Amino acid sequence: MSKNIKKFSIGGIDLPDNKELNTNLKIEELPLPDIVYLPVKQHIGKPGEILVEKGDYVKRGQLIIEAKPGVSASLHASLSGEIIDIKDIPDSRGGKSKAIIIQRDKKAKFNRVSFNLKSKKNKTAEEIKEIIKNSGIIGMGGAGFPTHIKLSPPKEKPIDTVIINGSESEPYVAVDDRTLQEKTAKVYRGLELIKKAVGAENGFIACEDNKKNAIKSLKAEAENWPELDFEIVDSLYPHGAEKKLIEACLNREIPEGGLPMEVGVVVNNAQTAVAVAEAVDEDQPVVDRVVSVSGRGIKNPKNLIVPLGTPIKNLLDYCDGVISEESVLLIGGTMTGFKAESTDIPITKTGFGIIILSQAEYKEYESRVCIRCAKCVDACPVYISPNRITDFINNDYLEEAKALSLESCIECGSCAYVCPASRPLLRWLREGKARLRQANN
Amino acid sequence: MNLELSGPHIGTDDSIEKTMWYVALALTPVVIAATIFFGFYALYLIFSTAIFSVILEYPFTKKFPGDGSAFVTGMLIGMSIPANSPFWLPLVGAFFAIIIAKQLFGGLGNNVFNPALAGRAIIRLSFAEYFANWPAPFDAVAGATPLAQRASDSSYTYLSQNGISGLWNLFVGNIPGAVGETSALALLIGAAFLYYKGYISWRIPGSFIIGVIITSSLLGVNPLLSVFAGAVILGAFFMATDMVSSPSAKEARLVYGAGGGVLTVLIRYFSSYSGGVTFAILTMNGLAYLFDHLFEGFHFGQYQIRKKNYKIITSAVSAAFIIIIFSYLTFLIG
Repeated sequence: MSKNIKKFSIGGIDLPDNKELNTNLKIEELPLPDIVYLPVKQHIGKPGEILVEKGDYVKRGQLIIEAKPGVSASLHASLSGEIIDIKDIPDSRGGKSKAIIIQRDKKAKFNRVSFNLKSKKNKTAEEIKEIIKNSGIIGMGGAGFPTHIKLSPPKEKPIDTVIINGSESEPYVAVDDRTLQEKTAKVYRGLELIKKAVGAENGFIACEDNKKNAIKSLKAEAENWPELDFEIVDSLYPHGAEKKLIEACLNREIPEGGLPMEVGVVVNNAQTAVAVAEAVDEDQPVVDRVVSVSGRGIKNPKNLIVPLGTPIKNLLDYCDGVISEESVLLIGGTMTGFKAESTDIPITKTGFGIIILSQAEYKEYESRVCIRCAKCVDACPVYISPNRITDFINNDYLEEAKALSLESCIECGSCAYVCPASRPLLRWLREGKARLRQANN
Repeated sequence: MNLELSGPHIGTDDSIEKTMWYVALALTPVVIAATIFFGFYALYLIFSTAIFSVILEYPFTKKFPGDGSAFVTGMLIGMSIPANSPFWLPLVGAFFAIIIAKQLFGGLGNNVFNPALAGRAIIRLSFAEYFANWPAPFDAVAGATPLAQRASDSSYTYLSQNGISGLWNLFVGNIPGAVGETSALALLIGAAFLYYKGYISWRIPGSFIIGVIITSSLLGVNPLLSVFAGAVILGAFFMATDMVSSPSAKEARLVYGAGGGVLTVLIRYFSSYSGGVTFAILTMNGLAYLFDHLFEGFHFGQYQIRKKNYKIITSAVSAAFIIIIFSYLTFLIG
């Protein structure tokens, strides 16, 4: 039985997806790094409480930061060893942030596999949420919203559908793609658990139609999960954005400024689903994540499972390094990610990709005059006018920018991608949003 | 957070230059048709204006041959004048277009009015005698264009004299008229190319043509004549779609196009100038920013407001439509 391909109707852009580099590469284990840098805050919300001090000895999987009440998340040590320092290090967005630095104890036995296989099977919704909270699970597709908060909507907003987002629309990256291929059963199991936790009736996994192998695996595995389903969505960018994914799959529009729960939906990334399954069934907190190292500038693209906090230079070395010194190093995706200035920046829970672009592929912005061609308006998936909003932002008319729904911007970058005057529209939109947040505080 | 490091780090290979030179390329069929119908002087008119425009712009941009926008402007001016114009006429037009309408406003991207149309309007009004006699294709006998008299008088005579073959000639361009305006066929080929390449959308030309058709039908002018005679096709696909002087919001583009179409027919019908398209689009150019503001449209997540407003708009439009039909019928019967 073939499925209808679901698609949103307005906006979006056709991107060269370049998935062929990584889609057929098995997820490999990265050799252990000697030092990991664990940023204290890897999620959206308040930072948790640090439980350790410089000089402490920690074991892999040990809780080192505990979630505070509210929007906050826990963190566990990803290596066994000594905490040699807690200080500010460069982060993946060009700023500085506090991190716990652990030096590996080379004699310690490294527990790659599960920590406890004896846990009882049938857990209640509350127990599942508690485990998710204690395991430090956050949205691992890039947003980093603490999952236990997402799964605890207020009573007046019942959830009827859970979507597992496997429609990775960033070019090059194949993390969700490989996860769906290799850990299909765990993704379904994670979906079942999340469905139970929020008490939803329906649950499905959404995958873009350019990931043929992943769809094949989903189809084969679906027989074992009669209550769960999968959907195929078009590969127009940005189908991976949750607002647009919900619109495409369920034809529901999240009201302005709202979260998916407003329309009775919870969306979780495929990685997050695997983390939930591993946490509940195997008692394993989030200490590793899968990262795609890809791009035309790296000698051997690979998909790797790495301990959190591993500096990206370890990943680059394992992939035999960059082809040319001119290449541009990106953390995250080519559309939404940031350029990395140093190779000491660590992998966090939300860091799904390391992309090395050749100099020819990299877009240098020139900020030429806007010719009002309206390509950005046509491309915008949330129907705002990036050209006019950025004019307002650049001239300090923040109220006007807000009236034009600046806050609806999902920062997908479609506008800047299509701009013939190569104006850095996304940078300006991000700046406007940051200034609005500042003004509101 | 350092936004200088923020993406997207990839982009299309599209650029302002590419956009403009593609428009110039899309005008090639029109240039060919003009040369066939009006001889090599038409070629001179088009390209001398284009090259002169590029030269005029050089002191401002210090780039040769520039971004192509001046070249396109020049081509369009050359196309919108009669084939028997004196050699200096398009050059004067280019001067007004590039210097007055474009560079004095701040250059590409900042001009409020479409430079080609502004240049054309100035020479049209200043040298009106050259716009009275339009040479017919193939022979040098000058005559009136199908629109030279008021649209209301000429429409039926042209079609009753020439019938179906007249309509065909109108479509192919075998009629008296401006160098590049007559051949709807050639213009549509160029427009189809631009549409395929994604440089124009259907919104402005589509609503423009529909505006022309509806208004002429209401005024009792043959809509086919209105669309294919004169500059409507050139205006709708190449002038009104000028990116800089048109609005960018989706709904605003629809209103802008429709307004241009309606105004074109009204000017043709009620004023003594036949150049309805020029003045209609220039008027709409002036309103472009206002339209962007008024018809911003709805953003993602505003479906509640959208639903409510659509109801109001739908009822208002249908009420207006019923009133118009009703009064038109009473007018016919009375």
